[in-house]
Amino acid sequence: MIGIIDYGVGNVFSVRNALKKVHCNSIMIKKPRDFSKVKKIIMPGVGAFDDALNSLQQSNLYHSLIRVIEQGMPTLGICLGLQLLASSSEEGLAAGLGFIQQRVQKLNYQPHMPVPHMGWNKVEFNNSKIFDCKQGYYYFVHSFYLDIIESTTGVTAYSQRFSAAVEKENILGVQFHPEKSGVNGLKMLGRFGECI
Amino acid sequence: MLTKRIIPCLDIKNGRVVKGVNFIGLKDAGCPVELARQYNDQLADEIVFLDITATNESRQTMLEVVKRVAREVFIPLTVGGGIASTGDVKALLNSGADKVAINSAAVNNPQLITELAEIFGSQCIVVAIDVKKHQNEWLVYTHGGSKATGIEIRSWIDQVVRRGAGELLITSIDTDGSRNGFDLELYRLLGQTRVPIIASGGAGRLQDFADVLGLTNVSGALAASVFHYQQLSIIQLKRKLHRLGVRIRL
Repeated sequence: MIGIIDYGVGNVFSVRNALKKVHCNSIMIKKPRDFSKVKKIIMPGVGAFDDALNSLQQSNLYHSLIRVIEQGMPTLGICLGLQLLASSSEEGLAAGLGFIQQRVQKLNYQPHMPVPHMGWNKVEFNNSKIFDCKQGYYYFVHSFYLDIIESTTGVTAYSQRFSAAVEKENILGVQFHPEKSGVNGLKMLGRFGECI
Repeated sequence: MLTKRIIPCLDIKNGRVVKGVNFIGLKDAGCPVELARQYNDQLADEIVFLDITATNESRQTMLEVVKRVAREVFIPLTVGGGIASTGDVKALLNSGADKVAINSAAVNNPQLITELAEIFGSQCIVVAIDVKKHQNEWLVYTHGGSKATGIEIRSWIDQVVRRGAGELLITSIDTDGSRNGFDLELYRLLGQTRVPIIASGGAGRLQDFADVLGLTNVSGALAASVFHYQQLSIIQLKRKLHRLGVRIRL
């Protein structure tokens, strides 16, 4: 069973549909004790940085989420979910979960480069355990990004190059939306969900 | 780099796909779920659904269509037609739509764009704009192209972008349904905008897509009938565009 962290804001309909398509059951994690029912967690990509973190504080999920990730539960952060794993963000004032020692930054607007970065872009993979291809197209919708760091395994170029995928121990973070990235995205979700 | 998008559009009436010419004269073109699945298999980059009746009843039908499609198709889905309130948007997003397109309601009440962008985020708010050329300027029309507003397109674009529109779907009424090509003059005039523009109206041949994607700044091209009646398959179109040097996802 995969637990989807509930920030109380956006809808996670497509993530759950996509998981179902790759034969993974999911439940929503609304309270700390829900973590005992799941083997893996997904932090979905909906809402704003501060809203999501404030909601985690209010539902008392904040500390238990940090604990289960520290204890090694496989965790997938999607879009905002990836950014929440960082220390902080230019989008807000709240402290991130701090598993990635980075500050999330805003994409700069440049001519021919509207922000949000929206659409299908190429990801080039290197040393990835989850992506078995050299490159592929995935669907992005975001205005903030994580720099390229040691644990970056996928890179995408837009107004600058940024981390499209990060893999660090039990954590996998992707800036794109696998649930909207057609076959490539389903494949990734299937691999993340394998063996549960 | 970011690729240019090929977007099939499904005009929906009573739960079925229909297609008219110059906004009138409708023909049945199939089941929306089946067509959406085929387009997804052919590597469509996104799918747009337009509820062309937009009554309270049809809105419920539309929610069902979106739910069924979203269970099987894992690419972005945009829904438009008669959307006039935050409640309409919420219901669609909760049914599995990723973006909503607003048109007449935005002209009647521009404040709606601001509200929707604040509540749901700019990334899911598309403003659809139908325009027609009068002498040397393009003017905005509403209500399926039947009502002139007298608003010049560039001033309207400035306003909707300022209010938080995340994307613009711009249809030329003059070329829509003609299959004589996109309105290149219009998209050239619009030039560079802060948000992506999707071109719509007039797709007939492969070269029309190559022209609008290659010669103007639009981020994507939308078409309906050429895909429904299988004059062009999306995958063949994309392969050929790729060979012509257009940045395309394959």
